[in-house]
Amino acid sequence: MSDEYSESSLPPVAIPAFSGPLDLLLHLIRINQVSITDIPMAEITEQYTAYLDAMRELDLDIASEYVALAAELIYIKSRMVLPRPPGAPEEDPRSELARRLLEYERYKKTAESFHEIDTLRAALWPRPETEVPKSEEGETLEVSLFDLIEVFRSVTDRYRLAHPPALEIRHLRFSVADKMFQLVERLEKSGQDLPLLEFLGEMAYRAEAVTAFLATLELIRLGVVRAFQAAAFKEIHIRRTETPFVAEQVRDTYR
Amino acid sequence: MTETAVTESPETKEERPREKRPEKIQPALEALLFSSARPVSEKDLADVLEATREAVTAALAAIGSAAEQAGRGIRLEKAAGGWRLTTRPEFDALLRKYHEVTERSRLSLAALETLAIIAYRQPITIPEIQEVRGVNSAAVIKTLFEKRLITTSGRKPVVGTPFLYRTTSEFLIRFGLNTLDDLPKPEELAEDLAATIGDPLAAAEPLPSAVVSSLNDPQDDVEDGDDDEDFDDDDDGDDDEE
Repeated sequence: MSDEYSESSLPPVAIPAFSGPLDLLLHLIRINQVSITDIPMAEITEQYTAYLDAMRELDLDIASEYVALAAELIYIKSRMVLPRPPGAPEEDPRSELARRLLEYERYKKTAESFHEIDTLRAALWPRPETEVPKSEEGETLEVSLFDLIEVFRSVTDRYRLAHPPALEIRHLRFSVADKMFQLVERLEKSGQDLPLLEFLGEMAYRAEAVTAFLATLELIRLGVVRAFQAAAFKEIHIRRTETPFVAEQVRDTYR
Repeated sequence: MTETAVTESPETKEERPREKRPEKIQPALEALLFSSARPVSEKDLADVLEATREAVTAALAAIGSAAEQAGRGIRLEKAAGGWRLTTRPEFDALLRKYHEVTERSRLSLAALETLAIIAYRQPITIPEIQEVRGVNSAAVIKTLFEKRLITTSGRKPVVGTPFLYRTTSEFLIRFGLNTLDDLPKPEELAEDLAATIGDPLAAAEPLPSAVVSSLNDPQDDVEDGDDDEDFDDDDDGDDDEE
């Protein structure tokens, strides 16, 4: 009998969906027509592991519980062949498994009946739930946990809408080269002097202002721009000089 | 819902004699049932109609049998401790065609298994359910919870204080049960309960002797010994008190 269901002859398509390892074990017991209370452990274990192998071949996701039951089956089988320690009570190593299977089978049968009833009753149409306008006053309704969860969800949704993330923490990267281009372009386009404070004040972030300041210093060093002030403590202005601004060179040097 | 208001002022209510004649309240009763999506308890019906419970019961029986005899499109059923009207099963195809409904969402076998375990052993924790099923059931529990067929019922006073789960009145309605006591033994359920569906009044007294005797069946003492009392603890108690 075991050959009939051995791994090689097992039709790979004939694997029904089992709701769990006990379901698979029950299926094997049924097709072998053996009793739950007297399971031929060797045959059933062999077939069980063959099923797991077949499932694995089909790339079915095998839950760990299936493997755990396979281990349990092998353990029970090994206990049956080992001699009982002297004085140990005479007990069938399979009894605990049989008890679990019988219990599981009961609920499985109930589930099948539930399915039948559910199908039959799906044909009965109740009146659809509609909003019956209620008087505002004195109305107390039973509030379920679901309603509370729903309220909480709507509150959090509303809160999220009303309060868009106030502070978005993002790592902003500013490059000195970009700021150098920005300043030169600005000066060339306007053809006028630019107050340094105005330029730096346009920067939205502290890091950006620092970068822009560094860019200004670099341009001064290269002689592309010149910083000056009309008198001591007067505003510092930036002016474009005659020195050419070599874009490629800047790009390569300052990233 | 309306019970609190009623119990607060029993004297003022009792001053007016309650209507005893079923035929007097029957049309109003019909209107109430017609307007209600969820089952209405006899107590609520009696209170709002200012009638006796006996009159309500008689009027309900009259409506039920009239619907049965006259070959009507609707039927009266008792579920979750109350009464409601539904369409007759033979018009399912017609209604689905008209309302353009293809299929109602089905419960998977895993979900039904889990539901059966909860129904018979409530209140029960997830680890206890998984012990019976031998497989992780968290996802299935979530589905049942979302479908409102189960709900939490406190926590078990053991290490970790896991949530206890029980079935809801939504479960009773869906499966046409009046109370959890109507849950038949698994062996009986297939043939008996399925057979009661066609009879609108059958749900009021389903399998009385069979269920009672099987509850005391010594063969089932492993799981059922302590569960039978649990069935009575359900919230439907409100509707059942006389």
